[in-house]
Amino acid sequence: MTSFAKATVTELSALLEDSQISSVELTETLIRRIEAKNPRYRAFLTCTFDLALDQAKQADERIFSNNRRGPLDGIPVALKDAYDTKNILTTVGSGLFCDRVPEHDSAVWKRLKAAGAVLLGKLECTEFCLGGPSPDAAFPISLNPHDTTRYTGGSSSGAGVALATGMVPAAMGSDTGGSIRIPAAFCGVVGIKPSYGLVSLRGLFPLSGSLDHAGPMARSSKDCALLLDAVMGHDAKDPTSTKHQIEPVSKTISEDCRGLVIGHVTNFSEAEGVSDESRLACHRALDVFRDLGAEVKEIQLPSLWDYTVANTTIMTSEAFAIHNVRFRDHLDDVSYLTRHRIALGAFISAADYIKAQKARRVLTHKTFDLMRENRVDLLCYPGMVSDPPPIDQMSPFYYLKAPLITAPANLTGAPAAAIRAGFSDANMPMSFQLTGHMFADSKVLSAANAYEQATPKYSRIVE
Amino acid sequence: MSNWAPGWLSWSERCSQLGLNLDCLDAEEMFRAHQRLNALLLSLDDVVDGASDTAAVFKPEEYVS
Repeated sequence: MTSFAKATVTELSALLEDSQISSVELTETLIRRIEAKNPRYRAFLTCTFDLALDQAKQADERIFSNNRRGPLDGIPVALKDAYDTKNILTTVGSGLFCDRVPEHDSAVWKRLKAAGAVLLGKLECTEFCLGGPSPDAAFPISLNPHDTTRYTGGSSSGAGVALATGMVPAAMGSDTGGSIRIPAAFCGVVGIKPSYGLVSLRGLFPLSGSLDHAGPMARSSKDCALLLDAVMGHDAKDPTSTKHQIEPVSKTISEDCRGLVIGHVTNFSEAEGVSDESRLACHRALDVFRDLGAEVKEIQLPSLWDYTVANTTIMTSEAFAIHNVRFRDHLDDVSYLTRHRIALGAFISAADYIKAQKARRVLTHKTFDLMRENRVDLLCYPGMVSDPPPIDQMSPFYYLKAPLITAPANLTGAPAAAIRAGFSDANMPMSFQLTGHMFADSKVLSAANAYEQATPKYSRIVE
Repeated sequence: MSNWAPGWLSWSERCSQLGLNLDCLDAEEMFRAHQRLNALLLSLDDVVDGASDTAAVFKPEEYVS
């Protein structure tokens, strides 16, 4: 039997369903793993072990009485520390919020709780979901288990690390410019930024409401689908929530890519800063899809810079609007990278903000029009431009020096997953991105699942 | 702080108006980032050329295939 630390949610759920293990047994094993691993990797900011054991016991009672709520009942999970959890410390990674205890649960945690999930704790995130590995951060960033001198990626950094080290099988992150996909890519796990509006943002501390996306991270695409099914759906109390409904994603997962048309975005693969290794990893992924029966076409989208500039302008303006009053009195209490990135928003005019929003709409129309004209179901391009940089070489405005390859999907709102693509010469995880038409989240995760079944050697838990 | 580019003075005054304490910021890094973003924003002029003035609202349902 696969060890609990390496097992996927799908595998663990089957074991629970067949009563081969209990949720309490699983939870206790993972608690011991967290106690052993977290002092080194710092993925968890707050542990909720008493709550977890209580929830696990209740899940076991439901399972034993044949009242299991579904595939997540009894499954341990963790949340990025930007999701509000009633009566549980929620810091959003900031020293300013070191004693912030919400009075209400976020919509995402409410839904996971209703599905029977067991909360192991809250995961480190870079400050206000925008910072980076600032040496002066109140909460030091998690360490990348593949190489602790390199960046984990942010801002859902703790989630990437907890999954890669086997501390938890499933987590929820959030993504405004790549904050699910970057740590998933750098830590060698899987994450999907769902279609905009599909998952409620209520109770997720905002970075930029126009661009924020709540989404799952796990060790397989199938697991991401199970999580997405549990958390998606209209929320009348969230103005960004869509009424558009999609079928349960996990029900449509297949291992068959026949008939699928994948567009390789050549101008993204050739963009400034993309390493030969990252490009090659993407080409190898496309070869796998061809072998699985998909048709691969080349496609050109607008310049990656256009997406990046519009995304950065909207995100930075909205972040400053959220934080500007707080910044007047407490700027020196905010970590170096965060205060610089957010302060830039003070100098963006309303006219430029509106220009960026208009550009968003134009670029989104162009993107989906080009996909339709080329009869493409999915787009494929590198996950990250290169290996994760050393922690001590992060600059506040790296995304003004080279375009951000995760930005297009935030801007267009398209579903986008970061999928493992092997290892680099430096033995760091590599990835590629798959994005789909609006609300075609099922197609993205289905293709990703087929790819994962064909490439099992790319999955690696750090012992 | 020598050899500041044109616009530095008005930029630092703007910081004061906004209540941003420049002592807490790497002023040179911020100023250059601001200039860089402004230059990049010019490239969006071509992108939005001809777009309606009411085109600044994003609704994902608009893009469903």
